[in-house]
Amino acid sequence: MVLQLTTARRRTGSVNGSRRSGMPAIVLAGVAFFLIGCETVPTHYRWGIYEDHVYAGYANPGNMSPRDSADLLEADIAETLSNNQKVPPGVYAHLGYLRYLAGNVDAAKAHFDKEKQTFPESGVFIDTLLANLQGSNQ
Amino acid sequence: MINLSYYMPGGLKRRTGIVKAGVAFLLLGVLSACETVPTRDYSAFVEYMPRSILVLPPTNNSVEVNAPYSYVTTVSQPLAEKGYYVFPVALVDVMMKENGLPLPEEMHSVPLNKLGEVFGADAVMYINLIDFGQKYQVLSSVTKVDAEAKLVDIETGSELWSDSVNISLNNSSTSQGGLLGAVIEATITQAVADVRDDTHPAARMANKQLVRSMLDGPLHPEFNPEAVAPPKPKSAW
Repeated sequence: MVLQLTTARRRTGSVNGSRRSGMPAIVLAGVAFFLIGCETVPTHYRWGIYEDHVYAGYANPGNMSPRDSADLLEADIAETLSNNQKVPPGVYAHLGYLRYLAGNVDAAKAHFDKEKQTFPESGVFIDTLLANLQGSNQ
Repeated sequence: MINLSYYMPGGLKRRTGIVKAGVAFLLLGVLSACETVPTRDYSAFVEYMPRSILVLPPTNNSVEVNAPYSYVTTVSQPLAEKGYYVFPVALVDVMMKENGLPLPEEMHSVPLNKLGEVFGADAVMYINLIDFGQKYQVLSSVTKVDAEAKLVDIETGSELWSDSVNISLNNSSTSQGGLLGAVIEATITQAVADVRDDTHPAARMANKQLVRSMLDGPLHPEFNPEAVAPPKPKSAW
């Protein structure tokens, strides 16, 4: 840490002497990589509350209504999108399921579709879900 | 240490040396960061490289009844970051249950072609929890997560990968935020519910470690089907 801070300060100091400014990048990268290691490599998706949210549903069932639960997850997705980050696999589908539990079938379908659109890998699964929804409507 | 020399008086001659030092340092970083050296046979993994993985709720040999759900809700993040589409774990569980399969053991015995029909997954991950839970002693507790997993191609049934992980964490104090809290602070987001359970963060840690020996998948930003490490030749002795 000390090493990194020192480097950063020196670098800032040399900005005015422009000749040097391009060089430290690779050095800095090396230092940063060494210090950071594998653990804090930036994630591809923003995970937000998703996994803890699902776990909470198992650990404390009935603690929160499906509607409140869905609202919370939807707000979390909105935050991800407003930060221009990526919504992870499964999140839209899970939100669809919560909306379904809350009795809002149209919203459920919309979120299932969104999952399929975002991740075509989910296609067969989403079609199965939609077929089940269709069935439960009749 | 080497890098500091850059800031000493020098001149243009030093440049190439600095670049080399930087590259060496980068390499060192890479090597020191990940201890897992691939020594396994990845040929089936490469041949049937899946885009999507269906993770079934784990079977449970521990006495902790909530273990499968505590564990399976930490699977999506490390797997998806590794470059795979991961089916929503709670929904998978619900669908299985609604089809008359309440127990993970039963879910694990569903034929692959049936799973393929319903989910359209490329591969299925089977996890077994050998040990899981918190064991309390007088002044401390031990949190254990001992799990094994395998990944199976849904079309052919070929095993693409398998590995196991064994985590044992000692808490010097059983109060919240003890030693364990400090260790995993960075990886937990204690959101939504007041879940006072050290096993969940321990499961997160275990899962992250477990999937390290998997290859990067097609959804990974740096996925390159050509750049997969070939199986290592057997040593002469």
